[in-house]
Amino acid sequence: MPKRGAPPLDADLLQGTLDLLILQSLLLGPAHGHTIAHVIEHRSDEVLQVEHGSLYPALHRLQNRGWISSEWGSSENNRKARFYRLTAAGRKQLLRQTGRWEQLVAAVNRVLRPSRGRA
Amino acid sequence: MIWKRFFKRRARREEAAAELEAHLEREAAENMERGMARDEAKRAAHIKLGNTTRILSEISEQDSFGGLETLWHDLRYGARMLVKQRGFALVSLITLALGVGANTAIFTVVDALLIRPLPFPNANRVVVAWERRMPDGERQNVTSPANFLQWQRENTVFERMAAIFNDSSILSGGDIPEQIATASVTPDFFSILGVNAAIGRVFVPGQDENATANPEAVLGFEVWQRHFASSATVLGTKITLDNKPYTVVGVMPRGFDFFIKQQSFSHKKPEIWVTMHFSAETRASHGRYLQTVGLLRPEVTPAQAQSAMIALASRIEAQDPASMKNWSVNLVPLRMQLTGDISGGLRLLLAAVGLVLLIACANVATLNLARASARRHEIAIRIALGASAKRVVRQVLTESCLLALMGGAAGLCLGCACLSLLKSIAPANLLPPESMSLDVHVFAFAAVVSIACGLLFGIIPAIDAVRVAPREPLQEGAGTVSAGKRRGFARQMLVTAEVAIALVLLTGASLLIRSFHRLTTVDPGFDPQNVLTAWVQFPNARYQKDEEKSQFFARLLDAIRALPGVRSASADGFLPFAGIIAATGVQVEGRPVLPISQLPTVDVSIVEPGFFETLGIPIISGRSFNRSEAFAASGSVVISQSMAQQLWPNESPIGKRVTIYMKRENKPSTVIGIVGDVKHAGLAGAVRPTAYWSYPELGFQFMSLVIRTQGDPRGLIPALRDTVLRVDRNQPIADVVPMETLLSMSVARTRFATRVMAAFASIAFLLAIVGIYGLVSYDVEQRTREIGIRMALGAQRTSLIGQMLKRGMGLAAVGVGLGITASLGLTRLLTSILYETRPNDPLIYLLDSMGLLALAFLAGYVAVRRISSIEPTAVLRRD
Repeated sequence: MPKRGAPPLDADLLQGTLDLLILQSLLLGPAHGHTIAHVIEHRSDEVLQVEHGSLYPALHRLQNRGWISSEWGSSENNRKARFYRLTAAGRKQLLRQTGRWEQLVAAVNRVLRPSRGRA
Repeated sequence: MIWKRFFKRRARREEAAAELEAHLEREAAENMERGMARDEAKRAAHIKLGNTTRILSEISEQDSFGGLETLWHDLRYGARMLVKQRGFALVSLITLALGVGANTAIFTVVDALLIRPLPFPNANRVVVAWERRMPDGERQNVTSPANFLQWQRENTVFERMAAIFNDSSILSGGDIPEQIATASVTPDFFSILGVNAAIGRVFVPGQDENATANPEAVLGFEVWQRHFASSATVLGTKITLDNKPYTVVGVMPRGFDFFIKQQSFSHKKPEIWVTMHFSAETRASHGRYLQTVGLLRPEVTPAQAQSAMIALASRIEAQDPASMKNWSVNLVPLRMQLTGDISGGLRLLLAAVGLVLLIACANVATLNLARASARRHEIAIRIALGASAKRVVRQVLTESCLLALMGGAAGLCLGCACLSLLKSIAPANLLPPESMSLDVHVFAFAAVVSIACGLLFGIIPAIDAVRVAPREPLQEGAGTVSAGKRRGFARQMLVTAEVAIALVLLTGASLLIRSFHRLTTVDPGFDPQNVLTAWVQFPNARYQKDEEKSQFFARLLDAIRALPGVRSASADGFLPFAGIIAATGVQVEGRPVLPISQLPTVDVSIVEPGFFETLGIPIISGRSFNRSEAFAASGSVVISQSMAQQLWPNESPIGKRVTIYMKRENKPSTVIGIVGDVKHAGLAGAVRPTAYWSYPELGFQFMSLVIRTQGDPRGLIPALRDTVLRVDRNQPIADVVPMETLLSMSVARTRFATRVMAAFASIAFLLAIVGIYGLVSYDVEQRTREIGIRMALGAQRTSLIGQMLKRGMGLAAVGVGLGITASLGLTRLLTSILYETRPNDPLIYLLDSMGLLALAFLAGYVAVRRISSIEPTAVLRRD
């Protein structure tokens, strides 16, 4: 549940954003889908709501591209769970996408600021 | 890599399902930790995750090939849907099959006859050159050697020209002599068409001058097989035609034939071609008997050629007014010449085919529209359950494709069947013998049109349904009282149009049938039953003197009369319905003498004694020829009733004298009898005044035997052949056919066109009825609830049935009205081919409209009958 007054954003809104967030959250170590979703929400102070429904197809897609790998294991409380791990290719991809993301943010900011200044 | 995933997709899907399950459990556990009740915790987890089916399908889509997997699912689903809706599927299939199949068959025929290039390399540059009688006489008249040679010498538009004379000759040298159709052609003939021999060579152009001494022959493929056992050694050998030797120089390829029927002396396709040479005497002859063809120079258009030739013709006319006064020239492109007399009929069929295709498309559209409305509910549910819009539309498209392809396949089968049916009922010589299989392009055309129609009308409503789904239709639920009024309008329009088109076809076919019936009940003027006819022609050289010819026929007829089963026998120069006729001017003695061109004309034939009695032509007054008149020209003439009325309207012609301009020296003949009129030129033709001489007056080289038999005339054929050979062992007979066959052959094309039109009209009729049935039954289905409510409120079943029927019949009536209006305009195009039938015959319109309405009523009634089984309580409880 979002704590702030601002409405939560759908992480899937921006094409490729979800992929980036997943890769980033796996940087710390292997995790299963549920954890990934909550890590993303938690780290964004729950501004970014991960739609769980689109999380799994995205994981599947990243795995098909060879950026993450998966294996079945036991979770903290001894439940069977599928753990995802960042591959070397995924690490490279993360760096590249982060760079591109920053460029995008900077560009958008450049566009937005002057208009704000006028207002 | 994707392959591996593809083959493991089932395991991967299960894995993903397990993963989602684990996710749900974990989420629910967390929710419970936050203090939710177990059930609510689970529910919240589900809501948060979303539609698992959708997620799984999204995942497994990544593991499959593009749409292959989806396609397979859609196909299976589509097939199940079609099996479930058997009625819809079957009607669609039949509609498509009829629309595509019948159309393809007819298109194939039209294509083979009109569109496909002629099998001659130069075909597009070949024109037929006719003389034309000005101002409004025969437009396609044969020409004379003198005129042809002048055209050939002085024209500026043709590369070369050739003359053709279709003849009939006796091919001897085998066990029995054979009467065979031949053509004399000038040496340029084959090079004008651009064809070559399969074996040996064709005639060498420009060889005319020195080859007279050594006449050459080119054999057709079939006569080569039949008569010469396909032997290659036939080249260079001599064959005998009409007692004259010809050297065989070549054999034409299989399927080569060239025959222009217009004013041809022989009415059969030639099988042997021989070189034509003009003697010094014939070079100057103005007797008209030659057909001529020319090869246009490459840069010359037919129109330019026409005007250049007209200029040449007026020059010739000025030079030689005695022979050429009022004769001009008329060029006809070869294709037009060869297809001219049938293209009208074929265009008619093509138009009918187009209309049937329209109806088929309208039916497919109606069916799809009706079903689409029914499917709105289904689509809404599928979207509510998580199907993506793209996916739904795609599924509907697959289903429509499936149906369309099945329809196309059924159409292909039906088309093949139709084509062989067409071939079997088509009159001889109408269709090219072989090489006519269902045309791929043609099939593709019809298939694409109707399939596109099916897809279009299948997919538009689906898109429409997806747009409003899932909310609207589900809210409407089964509870709508009358749904989709807006969409119903398109269907009603289509069905109305269908009825109208069907009526147009129906009236067209009815008119043709009525006309054909009128035609076949025409009295030909004689009794054609149990009469055998045969063609006897002997070479000029055989019987030099007139007495010999007369004696030959007298001996032959006596021998035939002596055969068992023969009641009487005679012979005629020009048999009714056989095609050829000679006409000339006549001058009645004692009346003002007029130039030949202003005299009344009559047909002239020569007959053996007993001719009128044998054919059953009534002798109205006077007498017919006696036996002595069969041996020597007596100057007697028997005239037909119409000739008597034309020349002697107010007096008895018997004993009157009339000069018939048919010979070199014409003396007056005395009228000895009047006989009934005969429809010589065919049943549809007008009666023409006719004069009959006895045989010796003209002493033709050919006569047609007419033999009245006791039973089936075919039984006499072997005995007749033997008898002829016994009288002269070198004399064959040809065209041995019963008179009734000649009669029915003369109307064969009309019969063919009528039958095909009738078939089209039936198909159209059927489709329109199916359309009405579909419309009304869909209407009933849609309004089941409304009907239930009304009945619960006390409405009578019968009045409800009446109301529903009225809607259907209202549309049918509007369709009939439109149809009548359209028919009145369109059937006028039939005027030229109808025999004694007015295109706006009110009786036919009345009967056809009533018939269509009656069957529409029946179809509507069958559809509406379901109302009587509707239980109001059941309907109301259903929601």
